[in-house]
Amino acid sequence: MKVKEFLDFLDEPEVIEKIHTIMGLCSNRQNNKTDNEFAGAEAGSDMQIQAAEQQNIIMTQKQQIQDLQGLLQEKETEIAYKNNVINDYAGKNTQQSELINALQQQITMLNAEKEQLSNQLTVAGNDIQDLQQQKLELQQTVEQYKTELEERFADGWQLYQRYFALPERDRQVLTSVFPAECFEAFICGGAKDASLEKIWDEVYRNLSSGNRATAYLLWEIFEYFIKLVNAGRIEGTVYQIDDVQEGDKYDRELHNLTLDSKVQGKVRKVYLSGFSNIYSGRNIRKSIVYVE
Amino acid sequence: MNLKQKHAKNSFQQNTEVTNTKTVSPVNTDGKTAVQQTTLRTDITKELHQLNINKADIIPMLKKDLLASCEQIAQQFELILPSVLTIAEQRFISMENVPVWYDRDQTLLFSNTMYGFHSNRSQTTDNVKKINKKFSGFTFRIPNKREVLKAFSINIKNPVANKGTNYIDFKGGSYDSILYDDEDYTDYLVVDRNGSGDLISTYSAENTLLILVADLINDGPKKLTSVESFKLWLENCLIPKGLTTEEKNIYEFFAVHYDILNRYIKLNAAGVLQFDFKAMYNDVLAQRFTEELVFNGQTVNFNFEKLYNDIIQNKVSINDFNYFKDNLLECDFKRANLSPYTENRIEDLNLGHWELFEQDSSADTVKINVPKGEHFIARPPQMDVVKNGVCGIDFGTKSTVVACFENESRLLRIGEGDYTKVPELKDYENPTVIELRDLTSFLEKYKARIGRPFTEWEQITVSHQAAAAITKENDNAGYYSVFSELKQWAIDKNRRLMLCDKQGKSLEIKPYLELQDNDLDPIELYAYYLGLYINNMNNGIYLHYVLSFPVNYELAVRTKLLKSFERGLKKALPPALLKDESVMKNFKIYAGASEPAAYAISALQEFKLQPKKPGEKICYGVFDFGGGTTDFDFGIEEIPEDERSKYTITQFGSGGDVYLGGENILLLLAYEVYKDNIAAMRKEQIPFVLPPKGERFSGSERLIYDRGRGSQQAYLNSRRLAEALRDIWERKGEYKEKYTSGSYAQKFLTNDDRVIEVMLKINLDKLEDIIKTQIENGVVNFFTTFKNTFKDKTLSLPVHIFLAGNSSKSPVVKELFEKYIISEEEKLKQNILKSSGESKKTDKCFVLHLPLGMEDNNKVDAAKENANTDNARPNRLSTVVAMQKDKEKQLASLDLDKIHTGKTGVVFGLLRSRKGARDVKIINRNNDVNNEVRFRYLLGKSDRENMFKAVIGWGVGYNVWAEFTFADEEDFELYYTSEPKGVKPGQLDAAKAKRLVCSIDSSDVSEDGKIFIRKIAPDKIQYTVANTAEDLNKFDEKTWQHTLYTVAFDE
Repeated sequence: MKVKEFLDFLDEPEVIEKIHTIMGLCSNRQNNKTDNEFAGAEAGSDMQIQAAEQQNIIMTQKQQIQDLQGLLQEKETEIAYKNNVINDYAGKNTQQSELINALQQQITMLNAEKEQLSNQLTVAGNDIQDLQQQKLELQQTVEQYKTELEERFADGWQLYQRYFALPERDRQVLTSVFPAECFEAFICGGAKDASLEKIWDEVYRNLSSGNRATAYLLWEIFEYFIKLVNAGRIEGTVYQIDDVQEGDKYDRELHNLTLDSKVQGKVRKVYLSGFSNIYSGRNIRKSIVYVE
Repeated sequence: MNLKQKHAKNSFQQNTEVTNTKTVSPVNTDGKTAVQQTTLRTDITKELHQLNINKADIIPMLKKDLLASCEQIAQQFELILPSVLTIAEQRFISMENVPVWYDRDQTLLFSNTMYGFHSNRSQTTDNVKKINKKFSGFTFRIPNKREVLKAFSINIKNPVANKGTNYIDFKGGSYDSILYDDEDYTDYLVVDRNGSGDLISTYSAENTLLILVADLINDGPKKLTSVESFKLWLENCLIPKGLTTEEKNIYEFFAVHYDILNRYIKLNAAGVLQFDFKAMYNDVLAQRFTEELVFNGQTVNFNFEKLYNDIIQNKVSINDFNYFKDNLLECDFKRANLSPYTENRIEDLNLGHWELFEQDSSADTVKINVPKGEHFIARPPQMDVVKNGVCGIDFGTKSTVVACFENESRLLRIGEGDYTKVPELKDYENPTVIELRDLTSFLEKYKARIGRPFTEWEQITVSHQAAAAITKENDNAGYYSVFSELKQWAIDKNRRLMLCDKQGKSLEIKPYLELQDNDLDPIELYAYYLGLYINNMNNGIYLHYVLSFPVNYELAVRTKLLKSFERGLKKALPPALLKDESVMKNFKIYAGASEPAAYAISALQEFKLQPKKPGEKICYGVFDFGGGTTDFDFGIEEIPEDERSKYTITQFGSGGDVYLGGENILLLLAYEVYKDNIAAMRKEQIPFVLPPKGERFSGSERLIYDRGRGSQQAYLNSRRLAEALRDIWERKGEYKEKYTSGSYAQKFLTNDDRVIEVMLKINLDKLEDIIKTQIENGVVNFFTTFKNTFKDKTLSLPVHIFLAGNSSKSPVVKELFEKYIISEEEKLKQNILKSSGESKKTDKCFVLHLPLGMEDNNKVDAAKENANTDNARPNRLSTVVAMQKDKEKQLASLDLDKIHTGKTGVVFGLLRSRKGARDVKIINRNNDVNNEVRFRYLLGKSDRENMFKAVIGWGVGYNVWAEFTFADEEDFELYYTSEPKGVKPGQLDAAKAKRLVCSIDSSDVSEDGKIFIRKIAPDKIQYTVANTAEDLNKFDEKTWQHTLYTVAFDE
C-alpha cells in the first residue's frame, strides 16, 4: 500500500500530521542538504552545532519515525487486524446475510405456517362452534329422550293408575300378569311375550261382554306393552299388531269371525285387531272381524 | 214448449220406441228363430242362444239392477250439486232455458224482456195492458215499488242496470224511471234508482221502463238459502246459467222428473242435500215408485212387477247378463268356498260350464234370449270324467287326506278353496270337522236336486273353516254347532248326538249304525263336501274311490261308511252325469288297504325297503299312533311268484288301542291337572268331562261328567285346558318354563256360565310320566301283539317298525321304542342261547323308522322355536333363516302335493292298493272268510292272584261254541279285554279288564251244566247252557231247548 493511500486509510489525524511533518522534514532536509552543501563549510561549527542539533532532531525524528513506524506497524497490524475484522465482519456479514436470508426464508415459512395455523385456528374455531352446536343439540336430544323416557314411563304410570282404578272383578282374570298393585310389577308383568296374549284375550273378553270401557283401557295397555316387549328384543320389532282394514278379503288364517258374520265375503268391520310374530310369520291372535 | 212438455213428448216417443224394440217373440238377436234346446251331445261343448233362467233368479237380478240404477241417479245428483249450490249463492242468476233472471233475495223472476215507453200516463197504462204477461210457463206482473227498489237501487249491483248510475240502458236508450204498480193507484207510477218517484205526467210523454216479475212462491218475497233456491228451480224447471254441458243434461233430468223424484231429494242427518237412493229403491220394491225414467239416454223402467212379468213373458230382454254370469262363475264358491271360475269358463268354446248343459226347463224357469255379444257355452260333465282316475280317501279321526291318481298320485286341498294361495303342507290334512250354520236351509237345497244341489258354504262348512270354529272363545253357544268326532261317533253303537246349528235349530242324531237312509248323516255331508272339492270344473270328475279303514272296524261299520261316502260323493256329481247310466256304471267305491297296511306300502317304498326279488320277504310292523286311536298291523311284503301283482302284503296280525291317541292323551293330561287343582275347581264349581282311561275320584259326582253326558261347559273346559297343555305333549319351545313358572293361569267356565281364571299348579313331571305310561302301554301291547302274531311264523329279519300317525312325532314314542327294541333283542338273544346254546348277535333285529318326513322337519322346527322364544343371537337366527329357506326350497322343489308324511303316507299307499292296478295286493289274514274283523276281546275270568286269565282267546272264530264256566248258579261274571297282555295268564290285572255280570234262567241252572259262549259279531256274543260240547255240535237255534242269551260289549 502506498503511504498516501495508507494515510488516506489511516484514520488518525494526529499520526497523519506527524507523518506529514516527518515527510516534509525529510524532503526539506534532502532539499536542504543540497542547498546547504555549498554553504556548509562556513557554517561549519554552527553547522556542527546545528548538525548536532539536527542530529538530535534527526535522532529524535528517527526515534519518532521509529515510533511512527512502530505505530505504523501497529496501525498496519491494526489495519490488518481491522481488515481481518472487516473481513470477518464481511464474512460475518455474508454469513449474516445468509443467515438473514435463511431467517427471512424462515420468516416466510413461519408466516406461511402462521397463516396455516391461523386458518387451522379458524377451522378449529368453526369446529368448536359446530361441536358446541352439536353439544347443544345433543343436550336437547338427551333432554328430549329423557322427557320421552319419562313420558314413556309416564304413560305406563298413567295406565297403571287407571288399571288399578278398575273394579277388582275386572282385574281378576289378569292377576297372573299384574299380581300386585306396584308399578314395577305392572311394568315387569306386562312386558312379557306370554302376557301379551293374556292381555289381548282379556280385551276380547271384555269387548264380547260389552264392557267397552275396560276393553279400551286394556287395549291401550296392550299397545303399550307390545312396544316394551319389542324394545327388549335383539331382533327389534318382533310383535306387530295386524293391519286389517275394511274391505279386506276374509282370510281364515288371519281373521276370526264374529258370531253373526258370514263365512265368505269382505271385512266390513274390524272389532279387534290381532297380532303376529312377524319374525316367525306366525299369527298369535287373529283379528276379530265381521264379514259380509 | 217448456222443458217438462218437451221431455214429456220425448219420453212418450221413447216409450213407444222402447215398446217397439222390446216387444219381441223369442228370436235370436241375429234374426234367426231360436232353436228349442233339445238334448245336447255329451262329447262336445255347445254355445247356447237361449238360457233357461229360474224365475226366482230373475228377482234378485232385477233388484240388483234397480238398486244400481237408483245408486246411479244419486251419483248423478252428487255430480251437479256443488256447481248448482255455488251458482245459487249469487244474488242475481240468469236462467239458461227461460228468458228470466232470478233475484234470490226476493225469490222473484225478472223477465229479460223489458218494455220502454215514451208516453203519458194513460197511454202508458194502455200500453201496459196490451202486454202478454203469461209466457214461458210463468205469469208475470208489474212489480211493486219495494220490489223495484230492492232489485234496482243504485247501491245494488244489478247486472241489468248501469253501475253507479240512475239509468238502465235498453235498446239504445237510457231510462231512469221504472214502472211499478201501487194498489192505491189505478195508474202506474215510476221510481228511479235513488228511490224518487211519482206518477207519470198526465200530459207529457215520459220515458219509462217496464220490467215484469213472476212469483215463484206464494208467501211473499223472501230470501231463500241456496238449497231452497235449487229445489225451487227444479220445481219450476229453471236451469241456471253457468253449468257445463254435462251438468246441464243431468240437471235437466232432475228438473223434468222433479215431481216424482223430489221426495228423495232431502237433507241427510248432517244437513247435506242428497238423493236418498235407498228410499227410492225401497219404494221401487214396494211398488210405490213405478215410473219409467229416461236416464243417460236410456229408459229405465222402475215398475218392478211389470219388469218382472215382461221378462218372464219375454216382452223385454235382460240388458245385463252379468248377474247370471256371476252366479255361474261363483257357483262352487257359494257351494264350497272354491275360488270363482274365470269368465272364459263361460265364454270359451273349449271350456264351458256344466250348469249351462243342465239347464232346468221346468215351469219355474223362463227362456231368455242371449243378446249379441254375449256367449254362454254349455259343457257336458261327461267330458270331464277322468277316465283312469282314482281317488284315495283316508278318513281319519282328526284329519282326512285325499289324493287323486291319474298318471301319478297328488294330494288335494280340501276346504282351502282359494287356490291362488301358496299351498302349505297343512292344507293337505283336512280336519274331519263339520260346522252347522243353517241346517234347515241347507237340507232344503240338498234334497231339491239329485246332484250338485245349490247348497251354500254359509249353511255348512267343513275342514279348516269348521275347525276354526271349534276353539273359538266366547262362542260357547256355538259349541254344539261344530261336530269334530265323526269317526268316533261312527264306531260307538250307543252314542247319540245332540247338534244345534247357529240358527238355533237342534237335532238329535241316532247312533251311526241305526241311521236309516233318509236320516241326516253328518258323514254323508262331509263326504259331499269332499266330493265337491274332488269333482269340479277345474279338477275333473272321478268315479273310482278307494277308502281306508282302521284294522279293527267291523264289517257293519265299514259297509255303512262306504254307503255314506257313496251317497255323499254322488251328491257332488252333476245331475246330468248321474242320469247317464253308461257313465255311472263305472262308479265304484270300495275299501282298500287298512290304514296301517296302506302306510306300510308307502313306507316300504319311501324307505326303499321293498323286496327286490321273489323269495325275499320284508317283515314289518306299523304303529299307527293317531289323534284318537292307535292301530298296529304286522305283515310281510314279498314279490309273488305268479307275478299277478308287483308285490303282495300279507297281513297277519293286528291290534290296537281305541283310546290311545294324541288328543285323548291331552284330555287325560287336562284331567290330571284338573284333579291336582281340585280345591279351586270345587270352590268355583268348574265342571269337567271324564276322559277315556280317566278314573273318577271321590266327590266328583257333581263335577265330572261321563263322555256323552257332559254339559257344554264341561266339554269346553276339558277341550280348552287340553289345548292349553298341548305344548307339553308336543314338547314345544320353552314349555317347561311356561308351565312351571308358578304363574300359569287358565280360564274356565263354571256351572253357572261365569268365566273364572284359576292359577294352576302343574306337576310337569307327573304329566310327562302319564304321557310316558300311556305310550309305553301301547308300545308293550305292540310288542306283545307282534310276538303273538309271529310266534308260529318264520321271521325274516330285520323287522321294520314304522311309526305312523301325527302322534308318533312325539319324541317319547321314539325313546320308548328304542328302549323296548333293545330289551326285546336282549330277550331274543337269551332265548336263542337257551334253546340252541349258541350266542348270536341280535341287535338290528328291529329297525325303527320315524314317520315319513319327520327328521328334516324336526331340525328346522326346533331351531325355529328356540330362536323365537328367547333372545337368540343374530347369528343363530340367521342360521335358522337359512335352514328354513333350504327347507322351503326343498319343499317347493318336491311339489308339496306329492310329499309322503306320517299322515299323508296312508293315502299314497292306499292308491297303490287299488283294484286293477296289480301293484300291491293285500292279503288280509286278520279278517275271517266273510271279511269280518276278529272278535275284539279276550274272554276270561279273574284268577286266584286277581289277574286276568283268558278262557276264550282270539283264535276261536265266529259261531264256534267254546266252554266258559259252570252253570250251577244263575249269575256268572265274565271278564273281557282287548289288551294283548291278556293273552298270557298273570300279565294283566283283572281290575284293568272289564267285567260283565251275565245271568241264566233259573230253569237253566244245573250242577252238570256248563255255559258255552260263541262269538257272533266283533263285539257281541251268545251264550247258552249245555252239558257237553258235543251237545252243541248240531246246534240249531230254532230247536235248541235252552235259552240263547245275547250280550253286546261296551268298549
